Amino acid sequence: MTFDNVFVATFAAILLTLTAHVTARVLARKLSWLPMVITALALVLLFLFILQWDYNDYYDVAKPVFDHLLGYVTVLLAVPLAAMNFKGLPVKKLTLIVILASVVGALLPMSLAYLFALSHDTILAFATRSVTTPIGLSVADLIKAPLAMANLIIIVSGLIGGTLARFLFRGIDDDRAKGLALGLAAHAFGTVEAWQISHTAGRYAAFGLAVNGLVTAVWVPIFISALSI
Amino acid sequence: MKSTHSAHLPLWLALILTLTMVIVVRESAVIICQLAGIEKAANIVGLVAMFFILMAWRLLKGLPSWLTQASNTLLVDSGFAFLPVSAGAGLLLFALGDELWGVMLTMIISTLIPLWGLAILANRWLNHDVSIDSTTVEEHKGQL
Repeated sequence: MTFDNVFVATFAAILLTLTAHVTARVLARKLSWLPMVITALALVLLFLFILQWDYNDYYDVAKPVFDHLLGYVTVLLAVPLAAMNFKGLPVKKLTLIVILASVVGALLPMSLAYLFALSHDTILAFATRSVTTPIGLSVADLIKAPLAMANLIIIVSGLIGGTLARFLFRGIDDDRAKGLALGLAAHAFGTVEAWQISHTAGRYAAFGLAVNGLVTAVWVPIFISALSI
Repeated sequence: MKSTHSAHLPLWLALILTLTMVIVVRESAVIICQLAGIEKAANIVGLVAMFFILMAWRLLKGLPSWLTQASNTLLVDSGFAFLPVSAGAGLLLFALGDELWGVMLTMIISTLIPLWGLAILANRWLNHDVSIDSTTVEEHKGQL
């Protein structure tokens, strides 16, 4: 499929993406086991295949609009972080957990990628593994890591964490600990899973996701640029 | 320091106000970062700036509950913003070639070990404080 007019092509790209998103949302409500992001992603690819629209052409016209949306979502993540209620919490220990999660979340996957002799671009993309997609893509852009690879890593690792969390949490009885770990290590998918555990777990996961994103977004680009990787 | 206070607004108005704030902060960050020659950092600068603005608001007046309600509503559908890039990631998975197993192993190990370790650590540290002052924390478990 080709378009002569850029405006029409952009409109078609937004419409296609919106249709996939809304359909995935409706399906996820009816079938609770269905991961919404993966369904929406598969639907976009299916629609592109049906319309015989090359992905690169679709992405070229969608990019200017969706880059703005991505920026707005990143900025919006400051709200749950600023609204967090710290009353009664061991703030020092919580801070230590967040710092540990952020450092391990970036350095462990990068070291493993290096050990497995993966390419330079892939190692850089792994720096974003533990942060949520909007922030991860902004960080990837900043450290010159390939965006599609960074996004693949973020999505698949979130899915792995969200799916296997219940098996890992067998000896853990505090929902706050479960939620915090899910938000810090498995970002958006983990947060969705945490909401299934309880509201307390969900709120802690949202906090973990936002604070880890913010902390990692600040130190990772500085660290990468200082090392001149 | 109040986290949120109740101030009733219709959801549509809360959404418009929240979106306006987010757009103004992000676009201002874009302009400032362009002037500073760090265009690519605009989203992160916007996030940090928004956080400081909201923290100042929280310290001075307390954040209104409509703001958190609107942000929760918007964040539920935030996946829409990264759907085109995500579709590219889906295609990339089939084109990884030799790197597929290395990438998969790295993702599995680097996700599950921190997830398990952080849960154990948080369980121990947060519960340690429960034993010190169980009333306060039980209260907090419910309210957060």
